[in-house]
Amino acid sequence: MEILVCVKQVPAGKTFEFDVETKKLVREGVNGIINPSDTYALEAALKLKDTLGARVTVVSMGPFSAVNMLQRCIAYGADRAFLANDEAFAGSDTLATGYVLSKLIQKTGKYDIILCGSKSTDGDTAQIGPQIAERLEIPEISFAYLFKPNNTSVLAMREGVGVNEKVSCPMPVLLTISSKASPLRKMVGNEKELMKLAQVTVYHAQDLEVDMKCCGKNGSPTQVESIFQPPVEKSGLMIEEGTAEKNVCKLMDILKEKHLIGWRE
Amino acid sequence: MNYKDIWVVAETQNGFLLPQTLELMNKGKELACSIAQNLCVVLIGEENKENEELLRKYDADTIISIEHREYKHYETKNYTNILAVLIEKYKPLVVMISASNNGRTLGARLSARKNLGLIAGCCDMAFKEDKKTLVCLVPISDGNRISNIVCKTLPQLVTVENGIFMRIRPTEKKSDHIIRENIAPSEEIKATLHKVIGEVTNSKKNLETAEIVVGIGMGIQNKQNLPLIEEFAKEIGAAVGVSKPLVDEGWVSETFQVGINGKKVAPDIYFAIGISGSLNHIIGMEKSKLIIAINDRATAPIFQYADYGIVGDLFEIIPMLQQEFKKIKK
Repeated sequence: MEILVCVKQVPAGKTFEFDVETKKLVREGVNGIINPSDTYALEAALKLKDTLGARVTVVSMGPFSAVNMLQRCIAYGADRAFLANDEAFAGSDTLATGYVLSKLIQKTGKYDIILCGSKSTDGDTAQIGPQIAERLEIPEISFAYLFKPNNTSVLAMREGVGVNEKVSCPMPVLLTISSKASPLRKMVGNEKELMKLAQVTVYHAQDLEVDMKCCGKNGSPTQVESIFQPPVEKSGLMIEEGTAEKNVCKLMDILKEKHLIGWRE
Repeated sequence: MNYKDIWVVAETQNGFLLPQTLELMNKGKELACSIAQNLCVVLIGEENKENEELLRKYDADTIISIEHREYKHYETKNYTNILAVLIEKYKPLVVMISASNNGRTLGARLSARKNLGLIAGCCDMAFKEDKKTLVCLVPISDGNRISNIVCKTLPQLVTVENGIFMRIRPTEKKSDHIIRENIAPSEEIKATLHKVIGEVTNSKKNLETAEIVVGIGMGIQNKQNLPLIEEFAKEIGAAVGVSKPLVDEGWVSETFQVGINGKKVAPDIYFAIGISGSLNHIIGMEKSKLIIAINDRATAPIFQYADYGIVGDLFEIIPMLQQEFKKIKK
């Protein structure tokens, strides 16, 4: 069984560096970690390796420093790793990223199950998974927290809207794994030693035969215009009109003004 | 081709229209009005009659209704197929989808299928002066910063966070422009739903979905005084919630408790009556869009969280307030 996991490198910690000029997260030279939400997908893949002897491939798109994160994935137990890295990919939004990753996936082989995280910490984008699935013309099960492959299909539990759902789907299938799933295991062995041995293959735009119009800034319809700090907490208004009666009238006036009353059944 | 109008994709669960649909419609209506265009709601379901009736009350300019027995539950490929067909046919300027687990998945599929940009998890949006470009506010890095994002492709596809906008109000004017479209289920390989675990009900007085919640705290003094507030709640069409001490005293069942270990509510209006404002309770109601606190102690912490506060005797104020609401009804 062939399993693929998509991972993303995000800056460590909760504070992010922004480049005011480019309005992008500073990714080069920042100590990168595996996007926490993707670690659940990695764990799910490693479990399939434990139980079914599946081969686990990890892919990512990002700066060259992401090689380090991919080596760490191998140290955790993944079998091989590929990185799509090219200046032409810089500034990609999710549409472009999904495109490049789907090209990278196609380049590296055929898979029964593709696993993604369900969001990223640096830009809550749950959409990469389904976008890849659409490009690869395969079905998806999103926000899965439990799943089991069964001959030709996958049986899964997913978080729907206000409910949980039991669904099945023929393979090949893409699943986005929710953070309700099992967390990533502890690494067995010495991290530095294991990472030293880990081989990561890096592909550039040319290797992937991508359409340059579809990646990087050119292929990204969404653009960040500015980034700002949200205003601080609202400050409340005390109604002090002197008497209870006047206070009630004032409150009613405010509610009317805000069109909050006068319409209910 | 001229792209116009604001679309909202209605979100349902087991046939019930979910409140986020009304939130999106409210924002959608505001956006449509700001550029003198129409609001259109796309309703997908097995049998839409009841939901159409419900939606008609809210002054949507158009309802596009698509029915099929396979559409009872959300399924990404069916929904993507329907929207891809409709977008091609009607060319809306903006398509708003709920940023729920299902909506986020749908938005992503649709964006890849039609090669459209997607702005995910918007918390607010407004048109630029050109009356065409939508600027979307998206929180990043755990809400510490907000980015302004625009999208160059049309329709501008956005998923909108739930629980941020107030729900649209019913109007006298009833929408009677319903377009019925017949779109067959997608024939692609897709997931099969076997079982839904949990339940979403349509009860209006359900604490967690109510538009107004009246919260009662120990200021009520004893169990015998509860009907005073319950009547007030009934008068204004609100659900009742209570703080933990009332449950601990055994005056009210646990199902009404609002707080860290009770229900989390986010109504349009939350009346905090005789509630001091322990952190436990605050966590259960701080997402309410408008908080009105009434308490006889000016130092009660609740006033720090309230949009409007009145220091006074609730036994005096509540009956007065109830009278005022009664007047409006007439």
